[in-house]
Amino acid sequence: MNDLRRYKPLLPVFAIYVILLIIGATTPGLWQPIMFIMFYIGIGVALNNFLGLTGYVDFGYVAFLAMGAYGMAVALNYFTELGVGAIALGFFLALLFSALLCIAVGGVALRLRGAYFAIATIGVNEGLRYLIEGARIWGGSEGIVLSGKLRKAFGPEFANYLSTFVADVSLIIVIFMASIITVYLINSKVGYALLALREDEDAAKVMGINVTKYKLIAFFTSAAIGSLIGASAWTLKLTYVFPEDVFFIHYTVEAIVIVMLGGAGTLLGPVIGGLIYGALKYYLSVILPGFQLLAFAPLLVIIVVAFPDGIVGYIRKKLRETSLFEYIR
Amino acid sequence: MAFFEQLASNLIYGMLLGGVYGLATMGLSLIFGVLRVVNVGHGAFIMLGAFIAFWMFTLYLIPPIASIVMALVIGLALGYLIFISVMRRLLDAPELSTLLATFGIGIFIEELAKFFWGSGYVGYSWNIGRISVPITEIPLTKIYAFISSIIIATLLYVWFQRTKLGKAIRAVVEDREGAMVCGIDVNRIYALSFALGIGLTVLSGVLVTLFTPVGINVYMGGDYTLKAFVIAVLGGLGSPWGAFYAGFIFGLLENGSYTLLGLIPGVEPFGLTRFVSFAGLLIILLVKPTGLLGGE
Amino acid sequence: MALLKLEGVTKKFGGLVAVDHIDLEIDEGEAIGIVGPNGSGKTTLYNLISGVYLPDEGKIFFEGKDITMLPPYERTPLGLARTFQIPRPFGSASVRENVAIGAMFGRAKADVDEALNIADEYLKLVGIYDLKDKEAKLLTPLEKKLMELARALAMKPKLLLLDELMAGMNPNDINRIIELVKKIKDKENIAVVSMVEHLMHAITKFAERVIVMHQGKKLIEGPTMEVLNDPKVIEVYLGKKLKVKGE
Repeated sequence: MNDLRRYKPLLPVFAIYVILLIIGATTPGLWQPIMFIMFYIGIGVALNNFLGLTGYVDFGYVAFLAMGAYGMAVALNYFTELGVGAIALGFFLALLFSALLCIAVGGVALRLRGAYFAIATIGVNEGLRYLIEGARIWGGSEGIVLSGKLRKAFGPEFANYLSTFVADVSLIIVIFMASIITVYLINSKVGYALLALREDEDAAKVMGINVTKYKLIAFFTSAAIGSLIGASAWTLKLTYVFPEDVFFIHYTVEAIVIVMLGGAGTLLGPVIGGLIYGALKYYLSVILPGFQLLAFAPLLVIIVVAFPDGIVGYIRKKLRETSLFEYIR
Repeated sequence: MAFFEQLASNLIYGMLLGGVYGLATMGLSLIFGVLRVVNVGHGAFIMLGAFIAFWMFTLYLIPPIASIVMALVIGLALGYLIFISVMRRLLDAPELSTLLATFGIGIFIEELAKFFWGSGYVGYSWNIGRISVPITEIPLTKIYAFISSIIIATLLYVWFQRTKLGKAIRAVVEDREGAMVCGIDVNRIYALSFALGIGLTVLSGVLVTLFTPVGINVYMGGDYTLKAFVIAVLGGLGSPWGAFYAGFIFGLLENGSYTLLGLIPGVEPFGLTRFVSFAGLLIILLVKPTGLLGGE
Repeated sequence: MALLKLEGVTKKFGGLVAVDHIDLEIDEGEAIGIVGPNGSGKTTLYNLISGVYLPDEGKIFFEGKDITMLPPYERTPLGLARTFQIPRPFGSASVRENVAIGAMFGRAKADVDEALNIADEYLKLVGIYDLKDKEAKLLTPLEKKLMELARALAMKPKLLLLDELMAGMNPNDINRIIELVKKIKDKENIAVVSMVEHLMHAITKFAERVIVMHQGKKLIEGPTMEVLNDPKVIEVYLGKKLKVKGE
C-alpha cells in the first residue's frame, strides 16, 4: 500500500495535464497555445529534477535540449533510410548525446561546490555552440534542415503527420513520464540523499552519502528529459535545427524562472510555473513580443529574495497539517 | 617571417587587451572575495559601460577616456542601489539565492537595455592615430586603454594598502568576525565593496570598446562573463590582484589561440577559441579550483 | 583487534599543528572521554576520524582496515557515526525523515520504508517520538541535539563520536542523556567517545577511560578518576588546585 500512496501527488499533476489537453483538443485554435504551454511545463519539470532537487543551478541547461534536438536531427538526416526507425534512433541519440555531455561536464563540475559548479556551467552553452559552429560539426552554423529529406523519404502527408501529430504526442508522453520519474525519485532513497545534500552537503557526506554520485543521477535525469523534449518539440515539430536557436540562453532563464516561480523541488511546482509562464508569454507575445523576460527577470529576483519556496512551496506550508498535504508535492 | 610578425603583433595586442580584461575581472573577484557572491550578471555591466562610451561619443563627442569617470560613477551608484535593494537581504541565504539573484539582475539589465536601445549592433570610430613599435603599428586608442587600466589598478592598489577603508576591506576578506570585533562596520564594507566591484566593471566596459568599438549590442555581455570567469578562476576567485595578472595571461592566450587556430583550414578561429577557453575553465576547475595564481 | 586505531596521526593548517602525532586505540563497547581546552585539537581529531579532513601524516584503522584516505561517506557504512556540536539537521525535512536518512546511508543501508521504521524506534528510545512529523528547523536546541543523537544511532554505528552533546543542557537532562547513552551503548555494543571541554562531571559519570589533549598532543590517558585528578591535567587545564570528585 505504501507504494501506491507515494504516487498520490501525481493526481493533481495529471489532472492539470488532462484538462489542458482536453481544452486544447476541443477548442478550435487552442491546440497550439496548449502545446506551447506544455513545452514550458516540460522544461520546468526537466530542470526541476536537478535545480529543485539538488539546489545547484546549471546555467548551461539549454545545451541538453540542444543535444536532444541534434540527436533527433542527426538520426533523421543521416539515417533517413531507416524510415520510422529513424525516429526511434533519434530519441536514442538524443539520450546518448545528452548523456555524453552530462558525463563531460558533470564528471568534472559536480565534484565542485555550488558556486564553482555554476561557474563551470556558464560556458557550456556557448562553448558547445561555438564548437559546433567553429568546427563545422553537423552543418555548423547552417544547422540541419530536414523538411525536404523527410518529404522525399516519407511522402508529404506522412512528413506532415510527423511534425504535427507525432511531435506533439511524443512531447506529451515525455512530460507524463517525466512527472512519474520525478515523483519516483523524490520518494526513493535517491530523493532522500538529494534532500540531505541540498540542505547541508557536508553533513550529508558525514551521513554516508556519496554526494557526487547523487548529484550526477539528478543531473542525468534532468538532462535526459530535456533532451527528449528538444528532440520532440524542436526537431520533430519544426523539422530544422539551427545552433543559434537551440543554444539560446533564454530557455535556460525561462526554465529557471518556471522552477522557482512554481516551487523548486516540488512535483507540482514546475507544472504551475510552466502553466503561468507559458500562458503569460503566449499572450504577452501578442502585445509586447520578445519582452517577457523584462517582466520575469525581476520577478525571479523578487521570488529569490521574498518567496524562495515558490507557489507550491508556499501552499504546502499552509496545508501541512491537513489531509490535502499528501496530494501536493 | 610574416607569420611571426602576425603572431607577435597579436601577442602584443593580447597583452594590451589583457590589461583591460584584468581590470574588468577585478570587480568580479572583489565582490566574491568580500561578499562570497558570484556575480553571474557580470557581463551586463560591461555592456552598460560599452553603451555609455558609445552614447557619450556619438551624442556629445566626449572621448571614451573621459567617459571612464562617468562610467565609474554610474557603476558605483548602480552597485550601491543593487546592494541595498537585493544583495543585503541575501547575505545569509543559501548560495543558490545569490546566484539566481545576480543572474536575474543581469538579465533584467540586458532586457531593459533592449527595451530602450533595441537589439541592434552599434559602434563608433575614434581614430586618433597609431604609434609604431618595432614589429607592428598599434592604434593609440588601445594604448590609452591599456595605460588607463594600469593606472586604475595601481590607484586601487594604493587605496587598498594605504587608506582606512581599503584596509578595512582587506580585513573583512581575511577574517570577517575578526574585523567585526575590531569595530569595522561590516555591512558598510559590503555595500562599498559591491558598489566598487560594479563600478570597476562598468568602467572597464568603456575600456573594452577602445579595443572593439564595433559590435556593441545589448547581449554582448554573455561573452565577457565567460571570459571573466575563466580569468577569475585562473587568478583565484577571491583575489583581485590574481585576476589582474590572470587577465594578461588570458589576453595572451586568447590572441595566440586566434592566430594558431586561424592556421587550421576550415575552422572558425573565434568561435573555436571560445570553446577552448571554456574547456580550459573546466580543466582549471578540475585541477586547481583555487586558481593557478595563488590561494583564495 | 582494536575497533579504532590511530598511529601517528598529524594534521597541520599552514604553520599550526592542530593534531600532533596522536596514537590512540579504542576497543569495542568502550566508553571513552576526550577532554581538552579550546584549541587542543579535539574537533580536528574528530574530523580526521570521520574523514572530513585527511591527515598529513599517520594512519587510521577501523577494525583493522586502513581508512586513512577514505572519504567520509565511505567510512559511515563501516560503522562510524558522529554528532555535531552545533546540530546540523536537514531543516526542511521532518524529524522522522532526518533520522531515517541516518538509517538509509549508515551501516544499516535500509531502504526507505525500513528506514522510517528504524527511525521510529530510535525516536521512541530517545524520547522525541511525538515530534516525528515536525519540520526539523522548528525544533528547540535541546530537541535538535536529541534528534542528532537519534540520527547518529540510526546509522547503527560500532563507534559513535559525540561532540559536546551535553553542552548547554541542564543537569537533569544531562543525567538523563548519560543514562540513555549508556543503556543504548550496552544494548547495541557501541563504543562511544564523548568529547567535552568543561562538563567534567558528565565525563566522570560516563567514561571508563579518559584522554586529555593539549596543544594537539595527547597529554595523558587512563582511567577516568586517575586522569582527572592528575596534577598535570589540573594545572594545564583547570588552572587551579581542584580535586575532581567522582560519584
